[in-house]
Amino acid sequence: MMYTPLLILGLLLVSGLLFGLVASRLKVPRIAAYALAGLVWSQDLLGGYFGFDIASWSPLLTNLALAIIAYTIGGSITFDQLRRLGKTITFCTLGESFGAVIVVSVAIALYQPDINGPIWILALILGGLAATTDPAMTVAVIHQYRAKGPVTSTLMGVVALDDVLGIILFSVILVVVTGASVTDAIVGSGIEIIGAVGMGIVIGGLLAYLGHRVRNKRFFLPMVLSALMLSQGLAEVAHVSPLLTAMFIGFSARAVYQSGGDRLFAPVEFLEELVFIIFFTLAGAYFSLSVLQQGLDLVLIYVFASVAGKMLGIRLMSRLAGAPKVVSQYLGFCVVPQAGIAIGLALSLMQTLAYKDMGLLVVNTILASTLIYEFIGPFTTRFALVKAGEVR
Amino acid sequence: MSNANFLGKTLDDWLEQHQAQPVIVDETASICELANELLAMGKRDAYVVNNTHRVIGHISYAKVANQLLSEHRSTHTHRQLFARVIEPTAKELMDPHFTSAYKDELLCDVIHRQLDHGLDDLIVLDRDSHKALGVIQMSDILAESI
Repeated sequence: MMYTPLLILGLLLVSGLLFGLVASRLKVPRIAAYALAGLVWSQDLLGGYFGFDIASWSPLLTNLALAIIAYTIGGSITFDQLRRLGKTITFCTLGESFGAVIVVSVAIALYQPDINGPIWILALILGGLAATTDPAMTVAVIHQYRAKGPVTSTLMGVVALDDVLGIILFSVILVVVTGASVTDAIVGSGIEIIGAVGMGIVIGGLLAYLGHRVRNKRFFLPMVLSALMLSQGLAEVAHVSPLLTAMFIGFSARAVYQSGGDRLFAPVEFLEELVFIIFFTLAGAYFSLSVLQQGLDLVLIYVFASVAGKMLGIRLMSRLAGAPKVVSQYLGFCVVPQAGIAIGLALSLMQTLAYKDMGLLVVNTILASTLIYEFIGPFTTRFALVKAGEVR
Repeated sequence: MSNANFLGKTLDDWLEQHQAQPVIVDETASICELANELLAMGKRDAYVVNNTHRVIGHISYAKVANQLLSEHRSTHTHRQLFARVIEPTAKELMDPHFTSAYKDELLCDVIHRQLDHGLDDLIVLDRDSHKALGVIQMSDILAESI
C-alpha cells in the first residue's frame, strides 16, 4: 500500500483531534494529547512499522503554519498600543526573553553535549527557542482562579509580547547560524533581516489596501492565505527570513488598516488550533527514543536553564522598571509554560539546518521540555498568583 | 399583513417624523465611556467620529460587551490579550466598514441593508461631509409596518 503525504497527514490530524477531544473531556493538557497522537505514528511505533516518510513533505506544511502564526502575532499589536503597554510589561518581557536566551545558551555551551556539529549553534538555537511563554495556558489558569491584580495584568502583557520578541530573536539567531562564515553571517543577516522587514511592510500594506476594498467576507481568508504563501515563496527566492516577513506583514497590515483588523485577522485566528494540532502531531511523529535518550540531560538542562533565565531576567528588569515588589517576586514563576510556537520553530529547523541530526535533537528536546512545562506550568503559575494574593 | 405605504418616503422625510438620535462617540473614547453612552441611551449601535465630526466607524453592543467582560473568557487570541491589557479606544475597536445611508435615498432601498447587517440603528450621513444627520431605528420601521 502507498502511504501518500495526504494519507499520513490525515491520519496524524484525525488522531490528534481524537486524542485532543478525549484530553479536553479528562481535563488533561490538549497539547500533550496532540503530541501523544503524533508519537503513535513515530518511527519507533506505527510509523516505522508502516514505513511512513514525513521528512520529505512536512517542512512545506510547517513553514506555512508558522507563517500563519507569525502573521497573527505580528498583527496583534500596533505601534500606539506598544507605546501604551507601559514600562513594567516592556522591561519584564525583555528581561524574561533575553534572560532565557542567554542562560540557556551559556548553560548548553558550558555543558558541551556530545553532538554531531558545532555546539555554539545548538546552544544559540535552543536559547532562541526558550524566549516564549504559552499564552493559552496562562490565560486558562488566570481564568480558572479568577486572578486579578498587578502580577496578573503584567503577566498577560508579558506572555503576549514575548511571542513577538521570541519570533524576532529566533529569526535573527537562525539567520546568524545559517551563514556560511562569520563575514557572511554578519553581512548576510543584516540583508536577510532588513529585506524581510521591507518585504513584510510592502505586502502588509497591499493586504490592508485590499482589506478596505474587498467587501465580500468570503474572500478575506483566501486573501490573507494567498498573500502569506506568496510572501513565503518570495522570501525563499530573495533569501530573506520568511518568519520575519510573515510577522511584518501582520504588523504592517494592522498599522495601515487602522482599526481592530477583524477582517484581516479574525478568519486566520480560527486556524490557530489546527496549526497547533499540525505542530504537535508532527513533532510527536518525529519523536525518537534513541535521540531522546542521547539528549535526556540536554532536556533537563534546557528546562532548568530556561526557567532560571526567565526568573533572573524578570527580577532584574522589573526592579529597573520600578515595578511593584510583588511583580518582581512572583512574575517569574508564572512564565514557566513554553509556547506552542516553540515546537513550530523547532520543526522549521528540520529543513533549515545543515546538520540534520541536530534538527532532530532540537525537536525532541523541545517536545520533551514542552510536555514537562505543560504539567508543571499550571502549578507554578497558580502558586505565584496565590502567593501574590491575586486569587479570589 | 404589513402596511407598506411608508416605504416610498425619502430618509429626509422619515427623519423629520422620527427624530431619533444616534449614539455618537469620539474616536478617543474609552470602552467604559462607550458602554455608558450605549446604556444611557438604551441603544445597541454606536458610531465613531473623528475630530472633524466625520463618522468613521461603527461599534456594536456585542463587541463592547465582549471587550468589557473579556476576563470571563477562558481563551484569548494574541489580539484579544493585548486588547485586555491595553484598554482599546473607540477607534481601535470600531469597524471602519459600516453600513450607512444618505438622506435622499428611499426607505425601501435601505431597509434590506439594515436587515442584512442586523443593525437596530442605521446612521444617515450627509453625502459630502459624512457627518451624522440622524438614525433610522428598526423599532420605528416595525411600529409603522404593523
